[in-house]
Amino acid sequence: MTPPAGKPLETQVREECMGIDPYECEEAIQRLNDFLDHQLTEPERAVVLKHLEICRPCLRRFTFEQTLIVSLRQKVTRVCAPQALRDKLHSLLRQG
Amino acid sequence: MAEAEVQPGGGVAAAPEPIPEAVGEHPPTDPDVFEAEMGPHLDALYRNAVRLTGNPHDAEDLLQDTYLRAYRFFYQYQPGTNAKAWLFRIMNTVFLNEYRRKARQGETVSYDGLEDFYLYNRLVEDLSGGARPGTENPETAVLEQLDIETIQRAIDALPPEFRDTVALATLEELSYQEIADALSIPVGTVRSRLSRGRKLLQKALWDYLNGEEKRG
Repeated sequence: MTPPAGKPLETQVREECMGIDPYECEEAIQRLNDFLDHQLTEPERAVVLKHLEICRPCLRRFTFEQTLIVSLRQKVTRVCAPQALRDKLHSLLRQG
Repeated sequence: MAEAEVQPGGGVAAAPEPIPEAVGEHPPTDPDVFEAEMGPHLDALYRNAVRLTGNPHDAEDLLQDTYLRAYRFFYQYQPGTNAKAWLFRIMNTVFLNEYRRKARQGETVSYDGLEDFYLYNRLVEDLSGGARPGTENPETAVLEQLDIETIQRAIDALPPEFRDTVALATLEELSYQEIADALSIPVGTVRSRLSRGRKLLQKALWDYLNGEEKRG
């Protein structure tokens, strides 16, 4: 199981052009989990990214949350089913 | 027939369903085909079984029961749909029906008032005191100190309903709909449990991290 190849958040936001911020911080934060877990539609995601372009504190906080999740996942998913159990299941499936 | 269907994407139910029994005629399952489809998810299933049962021995039994049940009902599985979510749902059903008969249900604890970005805020407060200067990302550098045992202890310490949702989303990367199907809860409940559960997890991680630092 490989971790998602998502780019770091910093590289996804453009800095050269400030637009109109569509969100207050709370509105972006309400969508934090959906954003991190890829549950937003592309237009919804774009609105959150737009806020992160403009709001430095939120960018830092969102980046931390993303790093935390990826770090936890990478560590915990190293735990695997024991080989003896795999072998047992393999033969159980073949016992009539 | 309808109640024997165990498929992701279906409706949601409030209570654990009865475990389906095989009925009627269906073609025998080819173990090689089954393993090709389901085998890649054994590690994720094993981790989930350890979380549910709390010990490796029961986890192996639960995984075996789940896997053999999935094999018996493989004819109901629609190729191309999400095998992982299907397996998780079977495991959850088997667990609720056979392993947790006496389990307490509907624990009510209040977790309101836990702030967003709990861990980040603690780290920033901590670092503003002058600890660890010179690192570009001092907050994320701290995460490297978290080892697997600490993370697992923090996850295991969550109340079960939060633990399952947090683990499936954070570690096993199931979508919210898949989690809803696997746990037989509405998607809205997945969202609220995840929101609270992740804050609780961050608090637990902070407590462990802080304890470790003091001892070290």
